[in-house]
Amino acid sequence: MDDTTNTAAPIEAKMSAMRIIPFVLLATGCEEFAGKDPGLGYTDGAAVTAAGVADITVSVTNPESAFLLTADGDHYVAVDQIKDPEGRVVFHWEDWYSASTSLTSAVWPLDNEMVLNWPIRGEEADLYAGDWTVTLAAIEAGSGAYKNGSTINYTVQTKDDPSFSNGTVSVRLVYTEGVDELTEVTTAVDAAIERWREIWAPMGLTPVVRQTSSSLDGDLPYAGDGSESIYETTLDSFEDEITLIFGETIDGSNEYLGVAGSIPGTLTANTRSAVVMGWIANAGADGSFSDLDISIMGETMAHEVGHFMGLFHPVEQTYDRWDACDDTPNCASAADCEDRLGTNLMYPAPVCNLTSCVEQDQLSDVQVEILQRYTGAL
Amino acid sequence: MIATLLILSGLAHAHEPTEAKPVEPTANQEALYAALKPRDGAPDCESLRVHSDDLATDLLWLVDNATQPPWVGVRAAQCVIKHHHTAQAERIKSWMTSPDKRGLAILAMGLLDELPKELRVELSAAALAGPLAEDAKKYIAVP
Repeated sequence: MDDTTNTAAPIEAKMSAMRIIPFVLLATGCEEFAGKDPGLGYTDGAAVTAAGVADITVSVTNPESAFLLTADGDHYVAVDQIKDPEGRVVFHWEDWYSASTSLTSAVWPLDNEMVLNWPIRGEEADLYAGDWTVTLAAIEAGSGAYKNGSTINYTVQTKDDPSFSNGTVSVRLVYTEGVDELTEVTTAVDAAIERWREIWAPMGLTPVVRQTSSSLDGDLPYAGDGSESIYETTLDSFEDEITLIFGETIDGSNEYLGVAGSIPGTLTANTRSAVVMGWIANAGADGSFSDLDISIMGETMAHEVGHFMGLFHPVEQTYDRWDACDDTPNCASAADCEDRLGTNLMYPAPVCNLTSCVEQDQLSDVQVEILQRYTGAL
Repeated sequence: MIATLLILSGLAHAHEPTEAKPVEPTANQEALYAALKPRDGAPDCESLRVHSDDLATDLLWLVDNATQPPWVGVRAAQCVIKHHHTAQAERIKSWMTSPDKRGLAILAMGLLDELPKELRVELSAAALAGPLAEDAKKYIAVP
């Protein structure tokens, strides 16, 4: 064990934490995960802003078809523009920053951490071999001023899979302390995962879920705010795995059933690199899982992981913001939206009548394009 | 003849202490239900006041009648526990000993720290002595 640990130790930066895992698992008897080929390329580095921005070069080789750029800066970070190898601008922040349709949260300076998956839809040009340039901006919180001399650390994962018609999404489900001992909960989760598989099957996607235990507290942090415990937990996930943490409550309450860290989320460990879910709200007032509760929990899993893979709600509850999919209607009232989008998996609320709900398992073609282009869909 | 039987049947039950549950929600209850339904978060309890002038009663109606999606009743109960616990203490206490309200009992156990000491002790004692004692032992620190 000493030898394998020493062999892994020199591997640097964030990659070391993720790639050391197979060695550790060998030593602890989990050989079935050793030698797992994630099908992802990996580079990392740091850039310093000049004139408020820094260029990141993403070298794409055939047959890489998507990349996931994760940044962590001294200041808030947002994507400014993306250029293809010919120098053509294929994405510019001004097209999306104030638009009523949402394509990626990477365009908004929300935090020091930023995640960008590219391409996003089929409408964006496919990747091809060459050097792509992503320009990132460092922005001061509050003033919105661009900052010079600001360091941005980044990782780039590339997807070595040319197919956008089918894919496997690896998920590490982490139970918080004690929840893995609640048989009624784990049984319901297993059944919900089956429901999730059923939902994704027509889209050519298969979730492969590896379940683990942890000593995490059952009251989970709100993943969108970031948390060191999420960072530490996801360090133990494989580099192609989406981390789904399953506990009791979120942020001390049941206001949230599930939360995705960001849209999209990253496969590299950061403070938002997970989806969190609480079982109490999903079980209902009687604290037991009916068949319908389980079905809806499976939809919630698919919904939250859908956010993590880049999907926005087709319409927000304010009915004045929509996703950037041209095949999801831009409806503008509760009645109209429920009528036209009520069966869509990413609709913000279930459509129910106090005691039963319609199945929400549909995705539009463009929504499927987004899921299939997520770098973790291999 | 049928009408007569129905009338007599109604009279026979008129004095029985059964709770009459409304079949359909009121407009306020419907508005609350819509507000508590979203997957990715619900408004805070204070902001729900715009939907009802008798918020605790309407929230409790949802607890008893809205079984889907499952989180609506839980969220409604959470607001009752956090903001109406004094007036609804007996109702909350009843959840602590009702197996068919086990989810609400576990919810309340997790919120005990936010309640006045006297009520906290009363609810804890009820839970630990009742049919949900096994759950209570997990969530309530017994000195």
